[in-house]
Amino acid sequence: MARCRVLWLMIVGLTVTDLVALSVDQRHQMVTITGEHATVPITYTLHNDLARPLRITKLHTSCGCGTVRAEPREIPAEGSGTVTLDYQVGERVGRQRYMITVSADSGAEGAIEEHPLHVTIDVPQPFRLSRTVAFWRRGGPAQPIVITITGHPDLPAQILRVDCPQGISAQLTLQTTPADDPPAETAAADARAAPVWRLELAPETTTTARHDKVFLITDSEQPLYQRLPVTVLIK
Amino acid sequence: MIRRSALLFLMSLLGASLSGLWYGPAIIWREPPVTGALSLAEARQLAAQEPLLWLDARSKAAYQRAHLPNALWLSEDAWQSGLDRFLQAWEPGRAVIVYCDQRGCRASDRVATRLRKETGFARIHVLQDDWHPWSAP
Repeated sequence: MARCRVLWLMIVGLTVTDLVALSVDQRHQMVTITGEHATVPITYTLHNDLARPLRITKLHTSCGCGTVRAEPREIPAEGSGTVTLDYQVGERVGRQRYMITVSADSGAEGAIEEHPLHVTIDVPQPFRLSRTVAFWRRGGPAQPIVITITGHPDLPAQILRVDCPQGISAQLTLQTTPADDPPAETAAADARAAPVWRLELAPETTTTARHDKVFLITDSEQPLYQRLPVTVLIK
Repeated sequence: MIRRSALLFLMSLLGASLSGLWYGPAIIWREPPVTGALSLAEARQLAAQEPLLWLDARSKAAYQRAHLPNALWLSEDAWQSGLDRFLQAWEPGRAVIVYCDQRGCRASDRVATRLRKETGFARIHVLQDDWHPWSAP
């Protein structure tokens, strides 16, 4: 009886092993994108562990952030292939996590398997704004709105000035800045401290509707961050 | 036989619970819950009460192929221009629903989260279901 049970478990085990036909070198990839790029390819290497060819039947991303392709579409027996996500950077910022689902058909009956691949993409920003839209209700109080702007410790840049349209006042104050000569024991931590600015915006009046822009002029090396817009909206 | 099965079940349950406790926070593909999520039925209910502003968070090509009537395109592919279009159309207090392809798509959640953060507007929802049956009764 006990022998039969072991035999049964072995059969089940072998069947399961046979169904898992694909293995992936690095299922979760971490990518940091700096500088100007239209698209960034992120490639996964797949191995067909079967003694027969394996066809990639479907590729799907959770992000709508680019296109996915498999090369070759049919991986030869015990061979390798790749799946590449051509990640479209666009105006995506910060940390993003996406999943790519690879469906593969080994040719055996009912043996379509789905493999999730993961990617964590970091697009660091030289400046991070607590909000980019300052909204006042038309006819409501013209109270100042405060926006906090945080710099990036590894992408040092300064805000040089604020360009304001007529009828909007802006006050920019630097709240913290890295110490020039920190004590040795805290040097590493202090050197990484990011500057923080406080931008206070207020309209002269809210009697008329407007949709305008305030621009933060910076010395960032990245063109996208040299003229940062903040929308002023009165509705 | 029943006792043995129950014992096996309890043992596997214990193992699964311990694995869940041990590895739970480290599972990288665990998706966080979507804030402001609405089902298709809930969206219909809301639409019956007030006008909505629909935002399509898919790629531009997908939007150009088909989209909900009057939906605006707002994607992180071209955020700033899309944000301007949205702010032109938005009226104070109006509910906004962001959609993408289907339940597994995260673009709508990302767009809604970024929109909430950048504008401070509260009534921004995410359609969790597929948008295609919207026009069907």
